[in-house]
Order: sequence, then C-alpha cells, then structure tokens
Amino acid sequence: MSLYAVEVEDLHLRIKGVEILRGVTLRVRRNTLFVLMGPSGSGKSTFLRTLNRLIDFVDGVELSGLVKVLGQDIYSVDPYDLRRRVVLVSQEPNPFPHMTIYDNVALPARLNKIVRTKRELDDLVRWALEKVMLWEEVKDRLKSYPHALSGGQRQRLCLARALAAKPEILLLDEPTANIDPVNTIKIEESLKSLRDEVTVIMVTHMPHQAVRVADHVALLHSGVIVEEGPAMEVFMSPKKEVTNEFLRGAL
Amino acid sequence: MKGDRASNLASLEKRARRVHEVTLELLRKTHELVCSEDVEEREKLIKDVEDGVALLDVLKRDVTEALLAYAVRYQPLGNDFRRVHALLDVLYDMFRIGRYCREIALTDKYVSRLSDESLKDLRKLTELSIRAYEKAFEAFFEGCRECVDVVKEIDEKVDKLYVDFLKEIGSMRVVESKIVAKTLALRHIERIVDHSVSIAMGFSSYV
Repeated sequence: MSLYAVEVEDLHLRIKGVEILRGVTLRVRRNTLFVLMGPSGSGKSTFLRTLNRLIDFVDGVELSGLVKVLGQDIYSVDPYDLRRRVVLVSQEPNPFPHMTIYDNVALPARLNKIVRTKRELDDLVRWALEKVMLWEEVKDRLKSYPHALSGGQRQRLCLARALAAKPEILLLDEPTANIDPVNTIKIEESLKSLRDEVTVIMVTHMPHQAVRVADHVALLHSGVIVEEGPAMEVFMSPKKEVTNEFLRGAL
Repeated sequence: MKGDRASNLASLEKRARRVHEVTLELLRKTHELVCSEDVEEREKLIKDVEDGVALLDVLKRDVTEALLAYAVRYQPLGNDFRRVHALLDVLYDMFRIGRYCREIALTDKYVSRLSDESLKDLRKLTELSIRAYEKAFEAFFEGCRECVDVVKEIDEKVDKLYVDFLKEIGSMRVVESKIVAKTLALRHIERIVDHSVSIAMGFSSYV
C-alpha cells in the first residue's frame, strides 16, 4: 500500500486552451489533513476536481502528467469507483431537498451497499452525524427535511453524508466559506477528529483556517505550487516572498 | 487594507525605536554616573536615571499593548508574525536593561560611590555595555551580521571579567562596601550585555 493518498507529478491542465495548472507536483500522505491554500483563481478547485475526475465533466479539458490516487493512476480505474472512494464536499451546502435528514445521510450507504441491516444503517447515520457534531441538534427530527436546518447545519449534514460513504479521501472545497463562526469551528473540530479514518484534502483561501486545522499545507498561485511543507513551518517561517504576501493578505 | 496594516506595523517599529532611544540615554547617564565625581552632578544623574526608568516602564507598557492589539486585529502570520514577536522580545530586553541601570544607580546611592578612583575599571565596562547595546540595535534593525559578532565578543569579555572578579572576592578575607558595590555593578553590567546579545540575536527574525 502506498504511503501516499495522492501523488501528482507535473500536472498540466488546460480548459478551452487556458492553462489552469502548470506543472503541479505534490504528494499527500495518508491520514493527514492537507490544506491547499491560494488566492481566488489560482486553480485550487480545479486541482481538487481533478483528483476524483469530476473535472471530466467540464468541456474542453486537456490534461497531462501523472495523477495517482491511493496508489493507482486515476485514468486506469473506473471513475465511479474512484468517486466512491474519493468524495467531494463543495462550498455550497447541497443536501437533497426532497429527502429527510436521515435519508440524506443514509443514501450513500444504501447506494454503495455499505451496510446490510437497518440497525447497521441507523448506527452509521448516527456515527456520521456525531462526527460532524450534528447528532444532538437533529436526533429528534431525523424525519425533517434539510430546509429546516441553518446554512451551517446543512453544510455539516453534507459532510455527514460524505462520511457515511466511508471514503478513503475526503475533498473539501472551501467548506466553511458561507457559514457562521460557530458552525465553522464545529466543522474544523470534526475534520481534526477524522485524521485516523480518512485523508482530508481541503482547499481554502483563508490562511487562518489553514493554521487552525492543517498538518501540511501547500500554496498554489497561478497554477503553480509555490511552497509546501508542515503547516507550522510554512506559517512561521515561509521561505518564499510570495507566501509571505499571501499570508499578509496582499496577493 | 494592505497599506493600513503595513503602516501600522511600521508605526509600531518607530515607537519601539523611541523606547530604544530612552534606553540608550539611560545607559549613557549610568556611564556618566560611574565617571562623575561631582556631588551635585551625581545626584542629578541618579534622579535622571530614576525618571528615565519610569518613562521606560510607561513606554514599554504602551508599545506592548499596541503590539498585542495589532496581533489581535491582523492575526499576522509568516514574517509579520516574527516581527511582532521579535519586537515584543526586544521591548522586554530594553525594559530589563533600564531596570539594571536603576540598580546600578541605587548601588551608587546606597552602597558606595562607583566613581571612586579604585573602581575606575567600571568606567570601561559601562562604556562596553553601551557599545554592546548600540551594536545590538544595529543588528536588530539594520540587519548588521557583523554587529552580532561584536556583541557576542563583548559578552564573552564581560562574562570573563565578572567570573574572574567573583573568584577574586572568594579569596578575600574581608569584603569592603566598595567591593560589594563593584560586584553588584559588574553583575548588572553583565546582565545588560546579556540582554544586548538577546536583542542582537533577534535580527534574524526581524530583518
């Protein structure tokens, strides 16, 4: 088994002729909380969507270089199987509005046949909701619909849904960009507690969030990895002036 | 936002430099005290040192508060974080140096006159402590690497003199108040130079 959850080598990606990623080389160890930082438009979300091949749905994508996830070239495996193991939670909370809170979380487990009995499914739903610190808030209204939840609760519901799929890698695209500080802290605490079970790769343009949660960070600027390393090293002694500028909020 | 943030840090640095000027002035007054034999002048110098230390306390508190407010407001990371941390450290070093100047003045006032001819080697040492402090600041604010070496050399020299003197006292059968005064003054000068080393070493964080 590879030591790394993700290994990317000289990745170039163009969309309709525009180069978004320019020779990205990066490795993410298993069971770490890896944060990819960068200003808006630097290519962070594109990079994230490349890892589970959601980028395939974008028109005019040209890609070169090697992307290995969980030890396998992503273009040598079934994309559906890849997306089952590598799950993305996006910036906008998007629970299924026509499904109850319970069914939202239970859906991936049902689809992927992760559990065999109703009891196992109940346990899994509870486990996932507890992981995102939502269980206490919704345990008496599992049959309610997501519209009854706040934005932050909806985002945590989406995170619980992703966890219930039992992914090996969790991709998070600015998961707290639109939610309040209390829910942000709850999500960050949840992420820190997930390290032993899953590799988390999170994208953010907020360095202070990265400081709070990351084990390892990288800075992506204009499609290039400018600097990477253990989080505290990068935040306390950045080696590149561009990193300093980013941390100062000047990029 | 960027301009506001940068100018805030620059203004804090300017305030730290003002604290430095007060500290340097204290060191000079202390040196004059060790050299002066005129009673009236010495009384005035002791008062100047005490007033200077009181001013230093206020300045240190104000600038520390302002630095903490900056840290809370901007939550600096990277080089800015190091600069704030280094400035806080330097403020503490300057505060301690001021305190040692006051201790020397008190020693002179209550134990024995330090400008006594038999203690004249103290004059050279207070002069050395001023040089160490000036070079430490050149290192810190201007990034002068050679200055760090100069400060370290002075530190070694003063350390050696201090230890040699302690050994000398150990062999004395009777210790006069002059010797007690010299020991205390030497100990304070040794600490002043130590804090200068600490300031000089902060240059790598700051520049």
